[in-house]
Amino acid sequence: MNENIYNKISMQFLSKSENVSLARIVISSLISTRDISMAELDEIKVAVSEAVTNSIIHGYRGREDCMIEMKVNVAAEQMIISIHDDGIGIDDIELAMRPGYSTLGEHMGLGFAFMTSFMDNVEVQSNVGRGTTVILSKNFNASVAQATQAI
Amino acid sequence: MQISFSNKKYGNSVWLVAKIKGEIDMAVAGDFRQKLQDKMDISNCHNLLLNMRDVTFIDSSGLGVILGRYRQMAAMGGKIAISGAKENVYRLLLASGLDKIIQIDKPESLWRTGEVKK
Repeated sequence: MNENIYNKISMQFLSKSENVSLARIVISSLISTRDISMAELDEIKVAVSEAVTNSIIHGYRGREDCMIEMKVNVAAEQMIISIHDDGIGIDDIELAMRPGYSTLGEHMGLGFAFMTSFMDNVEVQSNVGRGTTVILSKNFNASVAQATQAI
Repeated sequence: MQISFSNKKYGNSVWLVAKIKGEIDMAVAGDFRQKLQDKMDISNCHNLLLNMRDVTFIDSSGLGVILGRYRQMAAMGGKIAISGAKENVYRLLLASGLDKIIQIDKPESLWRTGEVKK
């Protein structure tokens, strides 16, 4: 086992809207002991909420009988959250990630904007007709890490 | 999410006050929208105050509902305002840009620490 890994989970859940909060609760519980502020914890919860919401409303077009997979790796200095669906996929990732772009009425098109502003890195892998994986990374104690690198 | 309504008079105008409690995400966004809509329809009130003191979480699904109500109120010449938002909710309101079109009270904790101006 990689001793660098502090904790690791892999879970699958139905694409039901009530599972958006389930994903948030799991994330909160996993990282509440790490060296992050309440504000950062809240921001990570928002990013996860947006990614799972996207899988349900865009990937699966609101269908509640499909599966979403969430994997989380928590290491000493970083956490990586991957959220995967087997939905319709994204044709133009760059367009989908543009702030204000939305294909649905009364949605602000801010899901990806929140993910990118609240996490240290966001990677989107998608195949049309086969699904999408969003990988969210967050560095713990980024200021300390950056200062150390500078020295 | 729970929501309760009252009418309050501020100066010469009557405001429909919606007190919201809990988390606002996609699971409750439809219900949130419908309850606000129904009350706005029957109250015939053109000013809406969202009291978000007891809102513990909001994401873009909830913010989208607020933007939708703003557009509706603005089309009728009405106003919408937000009070009591906690720090995390307030930061999301700023990140979404809603503060540019909606009057939002700043959390006391933030102006006390100097993060935002009073």
